[in-house]
Amino acid sequence: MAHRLIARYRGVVPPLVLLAAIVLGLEVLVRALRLPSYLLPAPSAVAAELASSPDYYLANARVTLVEAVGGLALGSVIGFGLGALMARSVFAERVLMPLAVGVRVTPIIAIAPIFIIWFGFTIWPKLVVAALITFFPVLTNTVVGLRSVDARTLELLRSLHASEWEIFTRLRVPNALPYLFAALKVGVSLSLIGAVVGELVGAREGLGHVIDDASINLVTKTVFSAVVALTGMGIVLTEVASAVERRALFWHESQRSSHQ
Amino acid sequence: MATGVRLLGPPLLGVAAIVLVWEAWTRVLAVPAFIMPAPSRIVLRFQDDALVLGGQLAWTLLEAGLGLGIGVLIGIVGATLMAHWLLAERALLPLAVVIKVMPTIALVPILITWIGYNLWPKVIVAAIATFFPVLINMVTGLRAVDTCALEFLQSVGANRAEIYRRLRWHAALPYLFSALKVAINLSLIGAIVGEWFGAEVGIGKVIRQTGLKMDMSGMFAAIVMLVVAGCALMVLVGWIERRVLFWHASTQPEGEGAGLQWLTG
Repeated sequence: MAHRLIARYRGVVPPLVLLAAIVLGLEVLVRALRLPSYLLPAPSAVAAELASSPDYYLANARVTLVEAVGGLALGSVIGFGLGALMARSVFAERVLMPLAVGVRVTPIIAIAPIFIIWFGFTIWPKLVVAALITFFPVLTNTVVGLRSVDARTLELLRSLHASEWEIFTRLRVPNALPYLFAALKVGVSLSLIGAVVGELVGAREGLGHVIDDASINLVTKTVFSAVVALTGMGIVLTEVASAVERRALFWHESQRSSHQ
Repeated sequence: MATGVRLLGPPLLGVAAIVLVWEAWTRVLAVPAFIMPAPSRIVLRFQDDALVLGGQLAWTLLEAGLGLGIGVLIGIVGATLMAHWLLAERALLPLAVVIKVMPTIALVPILITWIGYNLWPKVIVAAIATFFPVLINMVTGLRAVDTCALEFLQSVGANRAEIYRRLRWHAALPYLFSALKVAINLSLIGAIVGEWFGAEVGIGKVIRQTGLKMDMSGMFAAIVMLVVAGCALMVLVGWIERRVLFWHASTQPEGEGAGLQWLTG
């Protein structure tokens, strides 16, 4: 236990030292050059801003969080469904994969205003944008994960007359789980960005709206506060995804730490 | 020829089916053009605007290209440091993750306040968007060397620079190309995001302005231009990869579905 704590502690120190140096450097820079707050607010000013109205940031963060998690869920379900179809049929893959790539190379911000026109100032444009951004990594990882099963286990199951459905649930899905979690860890930060993009093009609440409002009025410290809040949320969500992964995949070799 | 039909047939079928359903839907329900223009309208508009859009696209490609170059350079240099020096990895990798998680789009207005309505905010956004996949893949690639070859080089007294040039760099190239296939689209998206909040030229500006005017067919024509450019760039990277990595297993054709590998990367 103590060993693991020390190991974790040692991993955390170097980045924290670097982060502290950057924050300190910014503070000194802003004070020494007397930069106006609308150009670059001092880190202390951003911290003071966050501390002065925590309710405001928490309420807006909650809105963005709901949109991001909802969009991630929607994108994951679509990505997994399409991925399962493509893993089963090469024809489906040939038809659908180029379309999926087409969606992926389209800058979502370019089509986000269309969703505002279709769905109005509701939660739906944000959900759709977040889902569009997150479905692709889930899709490709599902295809790879469902297909790359151990050939001998597959033969064993077939020789025991396992149905395709049994092979799917007992071999393919467990085999795909590590790939799915890898996609989810990418997806959580993408879904936050998707929700913010959806809010930037039209919203009345959420951190994206806070940023839009503040940047129009050149209240740069509010923009930075919202960005800090979003970055924090991204880190926490990624950590949550990793923790769930460790719980769910305790049996998989990717979860065994190398020094044990 | 036959393989070309076999590979291109199904995706074209899928696209054709979607376009047909879309066209039928807008005609049967008489959907107004400002909500969803029919594909035929978009094609006509695309023909009219192609030259103008091409000129705007060239600017966006310039921004994206510069950003990609800077991002790739930062990624390679950072990965070289991290692969050789554990403390650099411990300190820099979490920072890189933080930059990746940070919504860059929120910082664009601030960047414009600092730098102005010129090329550079777009280049910076594109660079931030592209450095991360390159960094991660290069760190993995520079380490994924054959142990026997490494031991052999060490036994003949090769120094770290020689090992880097003759072994690590070649081992990392396949990883670099797979990162490039992701990064090339990210650089385009980064340039568009940079143009979103203030630009005088660029395809992102066209999309924004046509969107604000509810000129949906003009907007879709610009998006089509952009998607075509994105796909063409991906094909180009795949082609260069096959040229450069002709010696590597990942470029050898193998069995069913191999023809689509350049798409999924």
